[in-house]
Amino acid sequence: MTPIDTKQGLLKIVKDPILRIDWSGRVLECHCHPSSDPAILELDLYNNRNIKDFEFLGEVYKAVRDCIESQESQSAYFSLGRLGSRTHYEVLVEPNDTDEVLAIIKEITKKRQRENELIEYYDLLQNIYEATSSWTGTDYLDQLTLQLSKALKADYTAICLIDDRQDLLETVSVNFIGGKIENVEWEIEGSPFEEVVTHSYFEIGHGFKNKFPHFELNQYHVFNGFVGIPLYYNELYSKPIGFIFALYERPLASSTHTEKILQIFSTRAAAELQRIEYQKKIEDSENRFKALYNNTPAYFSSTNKSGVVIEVGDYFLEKTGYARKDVIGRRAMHFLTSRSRKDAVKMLPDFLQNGYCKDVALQFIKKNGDIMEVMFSATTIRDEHGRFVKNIMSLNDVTLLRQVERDLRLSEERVIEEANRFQLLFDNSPVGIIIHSNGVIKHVNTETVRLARGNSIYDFVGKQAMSFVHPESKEIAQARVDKIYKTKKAHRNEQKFLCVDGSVIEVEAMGTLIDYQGEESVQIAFYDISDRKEAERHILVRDQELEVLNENLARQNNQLEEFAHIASHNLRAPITNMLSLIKIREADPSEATQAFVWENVGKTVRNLDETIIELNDVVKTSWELDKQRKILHFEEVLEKILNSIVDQIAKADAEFVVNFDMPSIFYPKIYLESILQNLVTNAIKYRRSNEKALIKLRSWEQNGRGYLSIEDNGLGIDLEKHGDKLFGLRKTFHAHQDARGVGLFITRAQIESLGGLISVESKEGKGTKFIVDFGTLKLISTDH
Amino acid sequence: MGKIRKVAVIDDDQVFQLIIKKQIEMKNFECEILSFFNGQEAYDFFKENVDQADVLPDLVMLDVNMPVKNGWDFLQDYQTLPSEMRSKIKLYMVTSSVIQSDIDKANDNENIISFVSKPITNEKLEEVFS
Repeated sequence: MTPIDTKQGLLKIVKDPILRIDWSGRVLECHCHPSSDPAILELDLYNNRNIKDFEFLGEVYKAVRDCIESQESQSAYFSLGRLGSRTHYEVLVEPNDTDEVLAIIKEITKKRQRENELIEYYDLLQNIYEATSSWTGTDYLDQLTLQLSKALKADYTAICLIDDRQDLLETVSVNFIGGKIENVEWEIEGSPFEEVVTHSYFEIGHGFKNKFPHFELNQYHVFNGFVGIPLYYNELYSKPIGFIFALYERPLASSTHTEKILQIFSTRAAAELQRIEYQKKIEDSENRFKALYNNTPAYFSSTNKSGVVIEVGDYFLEKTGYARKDVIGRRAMHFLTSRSRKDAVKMLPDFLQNGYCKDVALQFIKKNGDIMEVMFSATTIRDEHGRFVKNIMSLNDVTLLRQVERDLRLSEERVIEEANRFQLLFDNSPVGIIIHSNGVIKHVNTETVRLARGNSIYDFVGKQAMSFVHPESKEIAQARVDKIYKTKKAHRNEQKFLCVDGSVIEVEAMGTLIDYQGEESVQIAFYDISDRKEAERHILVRDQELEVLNENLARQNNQLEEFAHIASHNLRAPITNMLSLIKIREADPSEATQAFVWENVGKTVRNLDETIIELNDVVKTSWELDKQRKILHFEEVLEKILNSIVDQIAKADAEFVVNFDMPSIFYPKIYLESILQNLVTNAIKYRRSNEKALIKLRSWEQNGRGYLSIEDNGLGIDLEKHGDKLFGLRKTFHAHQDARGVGLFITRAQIESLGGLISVESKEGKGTKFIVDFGTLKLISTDH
Repeated sequence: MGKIRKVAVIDDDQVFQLIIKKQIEMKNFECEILSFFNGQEAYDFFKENVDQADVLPDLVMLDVNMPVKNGWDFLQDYQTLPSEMRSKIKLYMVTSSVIQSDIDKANDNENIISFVSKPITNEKLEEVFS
């Protein structure tokens, strides 16, 4: 084959037009295949046309010149608009000779379109990156829908999530005709969501509204085209979280990129949604924590690795008085007392190893210098890679708690001390103490055990309180207990206490209402007053004795007075007579008068002598100093008296009836003799002249007292008339017919001076009975 | 008051009775003397002659200490006698007692004109008889 043949052959194959162009742009040769691009053919480049004539070929001309000049391949581009569409061409220019080139025109419309698409795609991605790089969260999602609408040239783009209840779709971003609009909720039923999920990518060219007539979006708009793909979180492929879609009012011109673009967007949206979800979770917990941090009545703060405070809660500041700037940047240790710093250093290794510590008691210094008792807890926060983030510390103010604890301990100690003291007092009390409630003894002290002759408190505890009260005192004791409960006041009384061994002591008891182990109880304090009572009784007896003695003394005093009275009268009477007689003698010296005077002087002196002797008798017998008592037998005393008055007895022919039931008495001898003699002689003296004297003597003992009676059958006395003067001394001592003399006066004085009494019963003409009461019989002498 | 014609001396002391009689004789007072040795005797006499003014004395000298019925007991009975009768009798308590309680008691008794202590002097006797 010749070169020309080869050349012709090649030209037949190459369908693209080939031109030979000289340096001036003139087309020297044009080879066009019959099926070449009709647009090129229409240019009519065959007949020596110059490419400079076509404005749109300017770039080609430049490439021809460059090629000739540089003798290197060049390329240029041009496009032609034809039938409403534009066709793109590439012209490859190769050097052919020193002044001409070969140019081949290739249609590159499709290539260029693809290039454009790629550029667009690139731009889209670029836009997405640019648009989203500076945004996060919903803003980012809004950018995505915006960019999606641009990329897909869609009218409506949206990102939807399925809500937790699985029956609603919630948009998180909606773009409508280039602008963001409000988020909405749709029911899943009637929506294209299920189709999207089923097909992974779902596309409807036209008639969207007709296919999903119940989808709420279709109620207000007429959308024809639809594309959508589901959204998945990275780690949850099985379950879609929502979908991303685009709608077109016009029918959709399908594109191979649409699915890809949607996929890119869905990945981005899902990632952001997940991030948002995480962030929300973090924020939630963070917020919760923040709220906790700031509002909990605990003192939160955080430090970095070296213990410097980096965060601090409001409550912490409020309560410690520090400003945030006082705290941030300082070492946490700085706020502890020196002692607590040592404690904190001690627990540090454990904290570093375990990453936490709990309730370490420390002392924190407030801004004002006050010391706050705290319970310190801390925990180290690390991120998911285990890197240190911070130490969160909480201080629990236990100052008040500590104070309360201390107070409590102190008061507890005090209570115990009090209780001990009370117990000590209770046990060592010099009075017996019995505590009983509802009548049952709850507690007694040592003194009670001793006083009541018990062996231990168990002789009392659990027993009826009344069982220790003597029957005689039960009424008074019960009355007291009732009174205590009723008036709630202390009451005291004296009562007889029945001891464990059956013996009886007399006690003074004081009852008080108390609270014993939560029960209303009666506390009885008592002590033995048996000795005192005995002494009191003794004193009472002595009192009575003294009273008797006093009466006796008064009586004796009266007797003495009476005696003095009589004595002065009876002694003075003779003297006044003699004085008168002397006057008479002086006035009349006649013999007759002299005789009268002498005669009467003699009488007067004899009277005087008699009076003095009688007075002497009274003094001697009535106020005998020798009151020494002896055992005297009545028989013996009587016999001695009767022997001394044998003549009188014989003269009176007296008979004696003697009945000494009490044969003897412890009494002063002279007194008993004097008493008996007076009474016996009286009985004889005042006998009835026509009758034999019968004198009955009797002695007996009654109620510890001794008695003697002497009864006669004599004249008797009119007691109504003379009773009051019977034992008196208001009589002359002179022997007188009806004078009973000084005898009964002396007798009474003697009896009474020894604490006895004498009484008389008598009837005129019948007789008289004197009864001597010697008083309480004595065995030892107590008289002075 | 007219001349004393009858005097009653109530005293258990026989010697005093003789002495007063002698003193009155020596003063030449012409009057009758009635002697009573105790209150009872005197009262019985007064009571018996309560409406015979001639028999009753114009002047009474009464002792205190006497047996049976002493001066005070006599005065108690005397009080029961008609006051008309008593108003005509001058009653003096004449006694050897110098005990103040007797003097006070006598001064309190409306029937007694005065308490006169023995021995009775002539001057006193004149005063009593005046």
